[in-house]
Amino acid sequence: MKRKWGALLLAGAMCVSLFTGCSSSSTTEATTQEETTAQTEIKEELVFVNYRDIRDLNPHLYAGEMYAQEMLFETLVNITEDGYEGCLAESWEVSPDGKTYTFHIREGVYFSDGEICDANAIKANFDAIIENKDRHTWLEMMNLLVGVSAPDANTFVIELSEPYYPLLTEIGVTRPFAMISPKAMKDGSTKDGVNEYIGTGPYILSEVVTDEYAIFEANPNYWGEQPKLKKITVKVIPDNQTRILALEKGEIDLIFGKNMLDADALNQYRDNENFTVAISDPTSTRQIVLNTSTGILADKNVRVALQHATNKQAISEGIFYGLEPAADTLFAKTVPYCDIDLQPYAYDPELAAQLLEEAGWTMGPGNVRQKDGQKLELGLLYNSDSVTEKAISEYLQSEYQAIGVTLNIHGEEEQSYRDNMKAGNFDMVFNICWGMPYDPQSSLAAMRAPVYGDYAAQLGLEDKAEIDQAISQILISTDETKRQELYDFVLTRLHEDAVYIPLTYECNKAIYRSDMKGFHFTQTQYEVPFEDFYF
Amino acid sequence: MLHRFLHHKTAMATVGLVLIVALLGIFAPFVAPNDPYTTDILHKFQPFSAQFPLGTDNLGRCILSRMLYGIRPTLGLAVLTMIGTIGLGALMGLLAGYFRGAVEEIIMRVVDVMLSFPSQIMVFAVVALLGINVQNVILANVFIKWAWYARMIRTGVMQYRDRNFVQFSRCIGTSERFILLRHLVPSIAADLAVLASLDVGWAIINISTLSFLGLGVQAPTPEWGAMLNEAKNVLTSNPTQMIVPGIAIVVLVSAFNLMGDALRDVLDPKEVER
Repeated sequence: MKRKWGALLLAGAMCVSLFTGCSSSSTTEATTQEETTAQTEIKEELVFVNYRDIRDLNPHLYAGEMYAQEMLFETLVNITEDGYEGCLAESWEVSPDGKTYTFHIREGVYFSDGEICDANAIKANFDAIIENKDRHTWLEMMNLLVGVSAPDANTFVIELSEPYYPLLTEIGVTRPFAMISPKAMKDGSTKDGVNEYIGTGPYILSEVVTDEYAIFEANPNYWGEQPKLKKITVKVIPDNQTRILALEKGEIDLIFGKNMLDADALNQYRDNENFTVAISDPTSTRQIVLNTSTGILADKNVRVALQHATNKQAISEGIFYGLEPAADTLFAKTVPYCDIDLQPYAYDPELAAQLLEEAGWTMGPGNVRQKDGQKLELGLLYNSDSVTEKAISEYLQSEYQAIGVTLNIHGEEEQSYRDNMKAGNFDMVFNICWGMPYDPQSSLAAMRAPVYGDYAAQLGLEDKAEIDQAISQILISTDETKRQELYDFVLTRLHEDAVYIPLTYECNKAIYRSDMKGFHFTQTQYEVPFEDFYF
Repeated sequence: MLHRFLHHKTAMATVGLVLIVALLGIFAPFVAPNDPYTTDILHKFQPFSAQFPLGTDNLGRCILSRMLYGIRPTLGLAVLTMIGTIGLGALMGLLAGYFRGAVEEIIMRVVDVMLSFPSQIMVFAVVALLGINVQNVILANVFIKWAWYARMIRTGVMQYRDRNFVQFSRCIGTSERFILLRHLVPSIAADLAVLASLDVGWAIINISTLSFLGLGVQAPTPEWGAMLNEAKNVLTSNPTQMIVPGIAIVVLVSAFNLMGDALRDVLDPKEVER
């Protein structure tokens, strides 16, 4: 009998919670109305959301959230749509042989702890970064660096052994060449962490509660224009649906990021007056990397077969409702140097099956292909923090099953997914190009060392050494035609070796309160331009 | 007893429902209108239609077919878990209750230790330790839950071990094995049945919970908890997705709980009249 009473009580409690659910939502509506009426004075606070904590924001390392590093720290130059723009360096000159860069440092810039940011402070930063050289293998300039010097307080010089064309890009990206106050370093070094996150940027970090929120406030001594938003709170909400409900309830003002919103949510808010949906131009390529050093995928025929078995068009339309166009090549044709005539792998499951047949994989029991008693079974690793990768994985799983390939899908949270990728613990793994301004030179440079999964994945290629060498030559080439030829070679080889299955061209996505103005995306996909937003 | 059973409405209804569900699961290939694994990504989130009676999910798979095939892991694994738990629990309970002394001391102290942990957390810990797959989920559940049964069954055994028929049997020199299997096990069988049916509901919830959290049955195998998890990902845009698996779990678990109550009434009428 007791149990029945328990059930009744539970049912009662559920009914009550239903009603309270309704009433609480109506009260929030009321409060938002009050808020809007009170908003004759301008709202100067913004609540942003991210799926994980800001973590270690040390600007010389790679562990922190990039949007937060961008808010706190600045680099010598900024990369804009129209090229480079002075930031901490007001202007710069390049010697005629392309080996010496002289920067004229902006005067009167102070770190938020009161330290002056002159050429000496910048040299201290460069010294700390160069001390940890092994950590920055993806930066070719590290290999070509002869030395840095600060002849006087307003002049900073970088000397290289070869003329290197992407230098300004490398020192202009978020990290590692962002400037932290020398006082915050540990004995002039940053590789083992820093004491405080003190930069010259438009915001300062005022409060952090790990895995809950972080509060940024406008830097009152900022040398540039004061941002209109005086306070930015970043909440940590790992779950996609919870984020959307929080936006709906007015707890947060903006959701921004490539993997923070799924296409269904975007569609749902498309015609909503209270919220605005924004989608950027394609920023990078969503792709799957095939690990050529593992047994089954070492065979090029199998890789090509998987290329033909992947229906990118269906993924683009079915999962993204066409928001992300299907991708044919590793880099979009709009990426510099990448407008190359490559024959895309068309969707053709019959050809794929035929290729597998030719490679000796014959249909065995349970609709799984076999060769010498080994089953054609592959693992696909995805990032479980991404809102769409799981759906794509499940779709591919069923598609590949149709041609007799078993796909075991496995999701891990972002950090362990990256660690596994770097260590080469995968058959197939989701990957992205780095996007502007890193593509193609930095993405390619990083393939020569274990930075992401690319290095491990390409180890099984016979022409790996040749490709690596060509990439190295690209970086130090000065002749435009020669450079293009080398790019042609590398990209054609990678395409023909079928290492990457391009899926779609990724876009940056955002939903925000319609009363927020000044919204735009930036050149790099990792940055959120808070200083331009206002209410 | 059969007469009492046939006249007990709750017992009839719940046992009937569970049987129907089990049969639907067993004959899923014949009953299901579509292949539960066929994706059609261009027709995802379809509403109810003749071809897809309960619509389609986030990859365009038939929800009804997935529900039907999902009965196998959902109910099957729950029953398997219960058999394992009851088996281990009964063995330990019998040994402790019958032999007493040092055997009982050791077993019951282990039981005390097991019962002092919060069971759900322990299940997570065990699954995390052994790795994510179905066998480990069952192992973890058995490992955590047996202690509870051992204690219940020991009490039951102690009621019987000093009854006259057991004493007589012992006097004429019957083996311990015979006494345990032929005298004590049948005596506590009714209790066992009730305990088991009451807790299948618990096992279903538990396995669904683990699948919901991504620790149990892995994609693409259809399982109700895992389906609920997929539905959760589209909570705001397609809220109808979670209705079907949600209701199904609630109904089946309630049926098992009510069935446990009803079976006790049927098997032990005096208890009810009192």
